[in-house]
Parts: sequence; structure tokens; C-alpha cells
Amino acid sequence: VNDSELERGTVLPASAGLARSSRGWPAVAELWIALVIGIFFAVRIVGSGLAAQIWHSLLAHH
Amino acid sequence: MLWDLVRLTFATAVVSVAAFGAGTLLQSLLPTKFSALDRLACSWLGGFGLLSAVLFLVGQIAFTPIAVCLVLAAGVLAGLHPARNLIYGIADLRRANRIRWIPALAIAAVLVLTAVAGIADIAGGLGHDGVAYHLLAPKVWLRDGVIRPLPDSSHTAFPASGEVIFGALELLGGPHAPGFAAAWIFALFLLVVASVAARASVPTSDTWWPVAFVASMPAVYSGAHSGFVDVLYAGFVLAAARVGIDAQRKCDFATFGIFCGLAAATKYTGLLAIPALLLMVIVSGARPEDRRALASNIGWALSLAAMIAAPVYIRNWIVLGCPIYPPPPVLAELFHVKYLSAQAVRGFHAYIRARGGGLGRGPLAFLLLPYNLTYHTSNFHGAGGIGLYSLALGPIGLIAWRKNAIVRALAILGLLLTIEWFVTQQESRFLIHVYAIGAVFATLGWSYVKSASSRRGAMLSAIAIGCSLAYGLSFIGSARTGDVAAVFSPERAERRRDASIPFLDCFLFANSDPSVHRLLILDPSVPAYYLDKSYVKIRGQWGEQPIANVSDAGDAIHHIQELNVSHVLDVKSDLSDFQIPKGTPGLLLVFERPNARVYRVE
Repeated sequence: VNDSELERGTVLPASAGLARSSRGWPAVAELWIALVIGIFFAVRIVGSGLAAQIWHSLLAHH
Repeated sequence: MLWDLVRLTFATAVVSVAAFGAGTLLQSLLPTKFSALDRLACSWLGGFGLLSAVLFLVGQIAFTPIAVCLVLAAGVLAGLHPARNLIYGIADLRRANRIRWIPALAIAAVLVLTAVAGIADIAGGLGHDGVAYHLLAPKVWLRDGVIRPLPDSSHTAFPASGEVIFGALELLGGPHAPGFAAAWIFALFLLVVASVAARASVPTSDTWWPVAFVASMPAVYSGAHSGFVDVLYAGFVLAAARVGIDAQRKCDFATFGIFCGLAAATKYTGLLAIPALLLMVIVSGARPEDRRALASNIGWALSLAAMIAAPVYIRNWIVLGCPIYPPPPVLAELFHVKYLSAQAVRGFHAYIRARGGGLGRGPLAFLLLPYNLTYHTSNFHGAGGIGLYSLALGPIGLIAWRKNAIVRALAILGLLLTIEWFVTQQESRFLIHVYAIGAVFATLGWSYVKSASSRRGAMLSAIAIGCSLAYGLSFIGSARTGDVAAVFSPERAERRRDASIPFLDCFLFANSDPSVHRLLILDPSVPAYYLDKSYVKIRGQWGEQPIANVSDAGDAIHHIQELNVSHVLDVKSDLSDFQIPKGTPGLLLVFERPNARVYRVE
């Protein structure tokens, strides 16, 4: 957040305050993003049938 | 092809300058604290709406080449000087709104693709809304020289601010002009998204990221081309929100009201968006303390909204018997409409309920919407989805900026619009404005993660954004590969037409045979958009019965002389077999294919 942005009123200092006051919050945010990405790949892999193929090939080997 | 391109560019340039000229009327009404970007976005989009409103009114009397050109000429005259100023001031605008190369590339790629693919012929049957009514209506209006709902296509009575402009574009640039100009209309919408993002505390350096996010969402893109008007509608709603956020003077509220009216003059759902917008304005906290002044300003805004939107609703009431046509459930009990039986109206309601059911209408389905809209958008007819932006980064932005009054106002607006969408029709395209708000929150979340988190957070954000951009752009690209191929390869274009246009041979015959003056179409599934001649249908796609005493082919043949048709088209479709036996007295078979016959009326 730079001064000019604060000056033109597009960024409120409240957000920066939150970033300083909530120490554990960035870690939660990272975890959340990782979860969303993980589900995306899981859904894509399951959706593409790749998971079923792997499962069937594993069954075939045993 | 080169001549076609010149003509399309000319048509788009004329209509866009005319819209720019009409937008100058709004310049002095916009809030004083608006930046150059805000002014450009809102006045140009508003000008589009005002130009359309004037053309619609004029078109009730005459939608002829002279009438359309006169209106456009007035707009162009008003727009030339401001457009020249804009070109001279573009360097300042660029300096104030620096755009990073990745979002620039993504936005440019989508817009160029839209323009190029838009040159291809529209192909498809009545399952394609562009063919069924968005593009059919302006074509018939131009042919008839007047704007009227088509009795055989009830959807042509929908609010039509987009379709009216399509008509003007078609007049100047031919049938491909609406497709080509879709890039310009999409760009107008994206400018409004940038304006909202800048006001919602997105850092100046990141203003264009949410625009790139929105541009690369296949679910948004599906409402931006081939005659669809969903991004236009979403643009009006977001512009109303943008003005409403900063509205303080009476004239600010007037502009807010105009945009509300334009939303309702573009889609019926605009009527539901207006209360949500009003509530957002009331609770946004940027209002004068005086509640009486606020009430008066809101009353003023509502009056202007009603004035802008009213023509189409009054026209429908007079011509069709109900302001909203086909009538929704409550109005269906109160109004008896023309051309649609009570059974047909009920059938339409059942279709909408079934199509818009999404993944359920219960509380759990509502709570799961963020997940389902992100990962299973195709269940809402939004194949390709909306990327991970909103789900991965949106909540972070919303929480981090929760004390920002503008962010809170947008969150309330997004929630209200989503609730309305959820209980009415869960069609992904109808939620584009909320996707844009989600993209703004996502950018806020990203900027928070970049500033407050470790490198890991920034990297995870980059992965989420990179995956979404790559997936969305590749999906959009592949979805329009057929169109682009058809533009550059005549053989591909022909193959595509043959495969996608039902009864193509009949249309080619009817369009080229000078003895065909007016065609009687017996089957409701025939897409009349491809016919360049006048026609009459005895049944519409939604059960419309355009001619009072003609309900089937037998009736039609009985009254053939009264219908004033030169030829009859009989087809074998999914709905029925041939309806007229060969050798029917008074009808001479002049054209035949395995699934279609054309008779000349003797």
C-alpha cells in the first residue's frame, strides 16, 4: 500500500491493520489456497477418468 | 474477406462512436470524484444503452435504414469531438492505469479471438439462443422496417437493448457484424470491471488483473458472443453499482437510475437487480446523513429507471397483453396474453424450473454454491467454469478488506444477486456480474497474500491464478476453434454449415428462388433465422400460436389463401413427420430433400 493509493482513497488503511494484527491469518490463507488447488486437481483427475484407469490397472496387477 | 472486414470495422466504428457520442450526455451527470477510467467506462456503456433506447423508440415507428442512420449520425456527430479528445488523451489514461503484460496479453487474446471468430457464420438450430431470437429479431425488424415482437417467437418480446444495436450493426455491416462487434461490447464490460476494481481498493498496479480473470472465465465468455447479451446486462448492473457507490448529488442518482433502467431494458432479471442495487446504495455508508435527502434521491433514481425501462414493458402490455412476456407465474394468473395458451405458458415455466434447478434449491445447495460453481459449473450450463480465483482468493480478500465500505457494499450486492439467481433460474450466464465481483475480491485477496504472507503464499496464489488463466483461455480457445477455422477455410465453413444448420438446402433454395415471396413454415423446430424472405409459422418453439384460427397443418392448408404465402415448407423433424401428403390439391412440389419439401401455392 503506497501513499498515493491511500491519498486517492482506493486503499483503506484498515486492511493493512488487519495484516499486522492477525499473525496466524496468512498461514490459514495459504492452507486455504492449497486446499482449493488440491481439490481442483483431484476433481480434474477424477473427472478425466485417470483415477479410474489407475484404480483398474492396480486391480489388474493384484 | 478483406471487403467483409472493412465493412465490419466500419459498422463497429460507426456504432461505437455513436454510443460514445450518446455517452457524452452522461458525462456531466457522473459523480465528480470519478477518474478518467471511470468516466470512459460508464459514459461509453451508458451511451450504448441510451443509443439503443432511442433506436428502440424510433423503431416502434420505423426501423428503416434511413431512421437508423439518422439516429446513428446524430450520435456520431456528438461523439466525434470527444472521441478525438480520447485518442489524444489515451497516453495519460495509460499512464494512470498501467497494465501489466500478462493481464494485457490475456485480455487482448480474448478480444481478438472474439472479433475474428465473430466473422464466422452463426450455425446451429433453435437450441442456440442467438439463432432462436437474439439475432432473428433484429433481422426481421430490419426486413419489416419496424420493431415488433415476432408472434412465433415469444422471446423476441424480451427487453432488447442489445438486439436493437445488433440491428444497427447488421444494417451497416451485414449479418456478421453483431459477432464481430461482440469484441467491442465485451471490452465495454471489461472497462466497467476495471472501474469497479479500482474503486474497491485494488492497488493501481493490479487493476487489470481482475479484468483478465473475468475475461478468461469460460462461463463469462459464453455470455459475450454469438448474439448473447449477458455481459452487456452484467455491465449495466456493475455500472449502476459503480455509480451508486459514489452517488451523492441528485444528478449522480439520476445516472444510477439510468443504469438501473438500462439493466431492466436489457434483461427481465434487471427488474430483480434494481432492489439489490438500491439496498447496496442504502447500506454502502457513503450516503449523506440526511435520510430524507437519500429517500428523495432514490425516488428520483427509480423514476429515471422506470422511464428508461418502461418502453419495452408498455409495448409488451399493449401488443401482447402483459408487460412481461411470456408472463411469469404470478402475472400469468392476472393477464391473458396473446399467442400463448395457458398450457404453453405453464410448459415454459416448467422448462425454466427444470433448466434452472442447478444442484438443488435447498439451504445446503445454497451454502455449497461457491464449491459447485467453481468445480461443477457445467451443472449450471456454464461449461468451462469460472477458474479458482474467486474460491481460492476471494474469501481472503473479503475478510482482509472487510472494513472497507466499498468492499462491504459489493459483498452485499453480490450476495443479494446470488440469492435472486438461486431462487429464480440457476443459469451460470445470469451470474456474470457476481463472477466479476468475485474476481475483484480475488485480486484483493491476492494483494493481501503478497503483502502479508511468505513466499509460499505468493507461490500458491500464482499457481491458482496460473492454472485458472491457462485452463480458462485454453477452454475459450478450443470452444471457438471451429468458428476461427470457418473464417479462414471456406471448405470448413461449408462443412460446418452442412452439419449444424437444419434444413440448410431449403433455406438456400428459398433465399435464391425469386418466386419465393413469403414462406409458410409448418414445423416449430425450423430456425427461421436462416431465411432471408418473409415467413409465417403456425407454431412457435414454445407453443406460440401466431394465427388465431390455425392450429395445425390441416388448418393452415385450409386457410392458405388468407395467409398470403407463395410457398410452404414441410419438414420431417424430431417433432413430427411430414404434415402434408404429396399431391395435396393447390400445392405443387418444387423442391425435395429426404427431410424437407417445399411446395408452391398454386
